[in-house]
Amino acid sequence: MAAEDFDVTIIGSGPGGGSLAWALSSQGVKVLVLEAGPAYDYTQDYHLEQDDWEKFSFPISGREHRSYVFAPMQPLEERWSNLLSWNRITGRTNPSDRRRGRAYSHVQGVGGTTLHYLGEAHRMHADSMRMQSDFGVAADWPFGYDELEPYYVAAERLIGAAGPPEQPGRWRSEPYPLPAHRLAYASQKVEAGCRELGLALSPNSLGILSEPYDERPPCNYCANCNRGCPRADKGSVDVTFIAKALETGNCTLKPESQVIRIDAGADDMVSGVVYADVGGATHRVSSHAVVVACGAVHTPRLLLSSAGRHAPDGLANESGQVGQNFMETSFWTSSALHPEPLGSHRGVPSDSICWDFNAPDAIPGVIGGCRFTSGAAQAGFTGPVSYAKRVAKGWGHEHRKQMRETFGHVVSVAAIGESLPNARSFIDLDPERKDANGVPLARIHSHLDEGEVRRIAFMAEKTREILQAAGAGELIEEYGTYDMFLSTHVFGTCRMGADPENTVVDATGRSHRWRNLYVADASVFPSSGGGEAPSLTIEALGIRTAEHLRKALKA
Amino acid sequence: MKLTRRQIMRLFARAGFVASFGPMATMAVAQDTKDRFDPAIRRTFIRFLDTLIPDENGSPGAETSGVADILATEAEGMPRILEFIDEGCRWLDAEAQETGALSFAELDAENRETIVRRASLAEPTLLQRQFFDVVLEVALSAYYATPAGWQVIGYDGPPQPFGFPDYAEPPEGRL
Repeated sequence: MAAEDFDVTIIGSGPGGGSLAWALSSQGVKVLVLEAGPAYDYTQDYHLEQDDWEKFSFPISGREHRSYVFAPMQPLEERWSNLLSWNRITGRTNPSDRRRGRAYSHVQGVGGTTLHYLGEAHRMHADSMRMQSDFGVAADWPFGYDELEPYYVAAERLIGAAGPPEQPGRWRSEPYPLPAHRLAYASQKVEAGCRELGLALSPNSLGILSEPYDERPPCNYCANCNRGCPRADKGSVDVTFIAKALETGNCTLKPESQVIRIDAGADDMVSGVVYADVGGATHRVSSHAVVVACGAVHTPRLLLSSAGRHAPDGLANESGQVGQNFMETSFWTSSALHPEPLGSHRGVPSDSICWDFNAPDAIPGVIGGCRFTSGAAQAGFTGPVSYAKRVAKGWGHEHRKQMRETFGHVVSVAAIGESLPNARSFIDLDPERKDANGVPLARIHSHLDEGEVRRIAFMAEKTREILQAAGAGELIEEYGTYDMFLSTHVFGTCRMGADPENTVVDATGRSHRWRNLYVADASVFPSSGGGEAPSLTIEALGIRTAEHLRKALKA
Repeated sequence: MKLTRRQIMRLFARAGFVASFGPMATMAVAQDTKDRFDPAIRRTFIRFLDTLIPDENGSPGAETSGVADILATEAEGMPRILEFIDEGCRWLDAEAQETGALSFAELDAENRETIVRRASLAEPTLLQRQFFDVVLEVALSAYYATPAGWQVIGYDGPPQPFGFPDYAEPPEGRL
C-alpha cells in the first residue's frame, strides 16, 4: 500500500480503535484499521438458536490465549480463606496454595472485547479521576470529567445507550438516548433486598437497545450477551462505530492482520507498521500517523516488541513506564438459591446496579470504590446444562429432582472494584516464548496488595448480605479474584499525563516523544475507576483523541 | 445433538485420563487399540448412562431418549476414549459379577444404583471414581441439551430467536 493511501493507521478495532476510526473517517480522514482477529458475522457465527447452544462460548479462535503467559503469583493466606472461589458441585476452583492466572479474557476480532461484553455503558465517577491529589494513590487524569462529558454524550448517542435519568457522581448534560431497561424479575428481588439494607439498586446504563434505534432492533432479553449478540441489539463496536466508519467510505478494514512491529525513524516519527496476514506473509504500510489500540496487555506488548535502534527500550518507552502501572479486574460474585422460582435465566445479564460504594472513599478503611450488580446471567446460570453441572447435586433420580426444584432459582450479585497500581503488577515480554509470527508473548505479572484484598473482602461480605436480604438461601457458588487472575477490564500500562519522565502519552493520547504515535485504549488510564466498565470511557477518549489527531494532521 | 470430539476429549482429559490398567490389571486383559465397542461393553455403557439419568414418570432418561446411544456412537472412533470407557465398564461388570450376575447390564435398577453409588463415593484417584465423574459430566451436558432434558424442568428451548419478552414477570408455565 502506498504511503499516501491512508492518513492514519489504527491498530486494533475495539472500543478505542473503533471509535477513533469512526471519528476520523466521518470527518474525511482516510484510515486503515488493522485487526489481528477475524470479522465475525453476527447473523450466523453465534449459536444461540441451537439445541446445544450452551456448549458454545463466544467463538474465539484460541489465538487470544496463545498470546500471553502469566508470571508466578503470590501465595494464598489462611486468613483470607473466606475469599476462595468454589462451587458446591465442583469444589474449589483453584485447589492450589498460590494465586493462579486463569485467563485474560479478551477477544481478538473486529469489535474487540465488546464482542463478548455485557453491554455496560459507564461513565467514570468524577472523583476517581483525581486519585493522587485527593487520596494519594494511583495518578490523576490530566483533565477532569467536565472535559470528557461531551465525548461521553457523543459515544452514547452513537451506540444508543439506555439508562436512567441520573447516576451519582457523574453529571449529565443530556439524557440517555434511550430509556432504561426494566429490571428482570430476579433483579426485582435483589432490588427489594438492597432497599431493606438502605442501598439503592437502579437500572444499569447499557449499550443495549431498549427500543428500535438506528435500524437495529431492541433487545429480546435472551440473557446471553457474552456469547455474542445475534441481533445487533447489543452495541458492540463492530455493529456501531466500525459499521459507521465503513459507511463513510474513508475507512479500510483489514481483519486477520496482526501488526508485529512499528518502525521508528530518526526524527521522532514512526515510519510505518509491519503486519502479518493470515498466511504469515508480512506487509508494510506507512501513513502520517499511527494509533495503537490493542488493550492494556497487547499495546505494551507491541510497543516493547518494537524496540530498535531509535527506541532501544521499546517504542514510546523513554520513561520506562510502558507496561508499568498495570491495573486489572477486581471482582467478586456470589450466587444462591432463592425459594421462589424466578426464571432468573431471563433478562439482560447486568440489568441493575448499586453505585453506593463507587466513590473512592466510600468503602470504610479502603481507598477505591466498587459497584454491585444483579444478574444470574452474569454468573452464567442461563440454561439447563449450567444448572445440571453447577447447581443440581447427585445423580439419578435425585439429580432430576434437584433440577426440577432449582432451575431458574439462582440469584446472583456481582461486584467489581477499583484496582490500584503497584510495582509488582506490570506487563513485560516473555524472554523465551513467541507467537506464530515471532512476536514475544506478553507476560502478565499480577500482585494484590493488602488494600486490594480488603476491598475484595468488602465486596464478598456485601454481596452475601444483599443476597440474604433478597430472600436467598443456600449459597451455591462464589468466585473472585483473590485466588485467581481473571480479567477483562485491564488498564494503565501506557499512562497518560503531562510529565514525560513518568508517563507514556500526553493528555491527547500522543506519545511524548513520537509525534505521530498515539495510544487509544485503556492503557492510558491513570486510574481504573471504582469498578466502572471502561468501554464507554475508552470510546469517549477515542473520539476526543481523534479531534486532536485531526488538528495535528492539518497542522 | 453432538458433543465435539474436542469437548469429549477435554472432559476426559480433565479426569487425568491416561491409559492405565492399574487396579484393572488383574481383572481384565488389556485390549488392543481399537475404534469400536465390544457389544457387551457397549450394553454396559448404555445401562450405566441410563442409571445416571433414568426414566422417570414418563420423562425419558438417557437410554429411552437416545442420548446414551448417541454418546456411545460418538465415543467410537476415539480409541483412547473407548479404552477409558472399556476400563470403567469392566469395573462395573466385575462388581456385578460379585452379585452373581453376568454383567452390569443385566442387573435391575436398584442393584445398578448400588454399584454406581459405590463408584461415586470412591477415592478421587481411583479409576471407577474418575469414570463416574467424567461420564456423569458428559452425560448431563448432552442430556440437558435435548428436549428430553428440557421436559424435566419445563424449559422451552434455546434463548434465540424468541428471547424472553416476559423477563420482568414471574415465570409461568414453560420457561
